Amino acid sequence: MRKIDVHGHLGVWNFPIPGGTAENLLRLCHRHDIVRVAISSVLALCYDMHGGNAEVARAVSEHEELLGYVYCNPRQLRESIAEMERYLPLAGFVGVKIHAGYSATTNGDQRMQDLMAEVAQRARVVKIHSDGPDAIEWIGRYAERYPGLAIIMAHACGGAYQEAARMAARHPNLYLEFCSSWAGAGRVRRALDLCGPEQVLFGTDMDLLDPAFVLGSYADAAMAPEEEQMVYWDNPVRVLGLSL
Amino acid sequence: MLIDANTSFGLSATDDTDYTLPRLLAVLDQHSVDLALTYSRRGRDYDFLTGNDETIAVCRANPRLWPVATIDPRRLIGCRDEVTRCAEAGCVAFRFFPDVQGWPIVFRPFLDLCEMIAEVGLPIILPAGGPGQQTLIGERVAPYGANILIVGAGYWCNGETAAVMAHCPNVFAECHLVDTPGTLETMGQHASFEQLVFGSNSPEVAFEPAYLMGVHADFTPRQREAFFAGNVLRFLGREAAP
Repeated sequence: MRKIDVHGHLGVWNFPIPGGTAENLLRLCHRHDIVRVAISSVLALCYDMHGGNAEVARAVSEHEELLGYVYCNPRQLRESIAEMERYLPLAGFVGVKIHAGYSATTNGDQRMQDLMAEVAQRARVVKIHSDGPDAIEWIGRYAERYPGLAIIMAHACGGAYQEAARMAARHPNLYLEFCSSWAGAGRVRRALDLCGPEQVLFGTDMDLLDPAFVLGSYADAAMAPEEEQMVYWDNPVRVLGLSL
Repeated sequence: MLIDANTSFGLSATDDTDYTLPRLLAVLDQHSVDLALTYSRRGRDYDFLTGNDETIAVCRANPRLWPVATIDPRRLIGCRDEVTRCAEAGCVAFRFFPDVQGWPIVFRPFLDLCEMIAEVGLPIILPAGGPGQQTLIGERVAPYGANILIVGAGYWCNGETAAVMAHCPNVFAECHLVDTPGTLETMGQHASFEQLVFGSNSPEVAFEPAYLMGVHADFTPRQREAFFAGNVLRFLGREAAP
C-alpha cells in the first residue's frame, strides 16, 4: 500500500546506522512503498539550524520523494522567522519542525510560546517533539489558540500517548504519529479508538529508525482497510496539503 | 522454523498491558511461532521460587514453550539450590533482571551464580542496560564460559553490543530493540551473523516490529534462517529443536 511518511530526517546519527544520506532515505522509501517522506535536518536539530535547513532544501529540490520541514529553534526566534520566510515559500516545503528536547526549551516555555505564535502566522503544519511539564496541556492550548495550524505530536508524545489521543479528540487540528523504539502492544489501536483514524498519521523517523520496525507497530493495530487508507495516505495528503 | 527467544507471561502491578498466558499463546498462534523461551513475571517481580514453579508448570502443559528460570541474587538464601532445582526440572536458561531489581552486574552473589550456572552447562540471559554494562558482561560474566544472550540493546548501545560480541564469541544479541536501518547487518559483519537472535518481547510489546526487521534485513537465506531459529538453538547448546 502506498504511504506518506510525516516524520523523517536527513543527516547522521552517532549510532551504528549506515546511512544519513538522501539516497538512503530513497532506498527505504522504495523498499516500503513510501511515496513521500517529510524530513527535517539532524544537523539543524543538534547544532546548526541554518546549515541543516540548507541541506534539507538541497535534498528536497533534487528528489521529489522528499518533502521539507523548516527546523525552528525557540532559542533563536529572529533567525527562525527568517528561516521560515526563506524556505516555506519554496516548492516541497510543507511545514515547520520543532524539537523541545534538542532545543532544551519545554512546550510551555515563553520562548516556545513566542515561536508558536510566529509559526502560526506562516505555516500550515508544525511537527513538535514535546518535552516538559504539562507538555500535552500546552499542545492543547496551542491547538486552541491557532485553530488554522495543524499540530503533529511527534511519537504521539511517547508514553503519554493516551493523554495525547484524548487531547486530539478535543481539538481537530491535533494529529499523532507513532514512530518509536517502544512498540508497546496495542498502543496504536488504543489511540485510534480514542481520537479516531482521521487524526492519526504515519511516521517512521527514518533513517534513525527502520520503517520495517515502525510498520510493525502500525500492523499491530490491525487497522481496517479504510483506516489504513486514512492513516497511510488520505490524512497526510490533507494535512501536508499535497496534490498527488 | 520460528523461535522467539524473549517472551513472558503473568501479571503486572505497574501497567495495563495484557501479559496473561492466553494472550501470549494467542500472539504465538497469530504469528506461527514454533517455539518460545518464556518466564513467569511473578518470578521477576515477586518471588523467583514460585515464579519458576509457574514457568515449569506452564511449559510442561504447553510443549512449544521452553522454560527460562529466574533468580534474584539479592535474596542469597536458596539461590544456589534453585540453580540445581531448575536445571533438573528442564529449564533451558537462567535469566536475570538487574535493571528491574536494582543491582549491578559486578555483584558477588550474582557472579557466584553465573559460575555455578556455567558449571551445570546452561546459558544466561541478561539485559543490555546502560552504557558500559554490556562491556562488563563481556569482561566479568562471559569468562565463566556459559553462553550469554544480551536482551534489549537498542540503537543507543548497539555499537557496544557488536563490539562485545566480537570479543566474546559466547555472547549473543537478542534483537527486539534493534530498530535502525542496516544495524542488524552491521552487527553481523562486525561480530558474526551467528550471534544474532530473534526475540519479540511479547506480549509486552507488539510482535511485528522485531519480526519485520528480520524479514526485511539484508540477510542471506541462511543468515535469516539462523536469525529466526538456528542461532538461539546454538545459544541453548542444542543442535536442533525436538
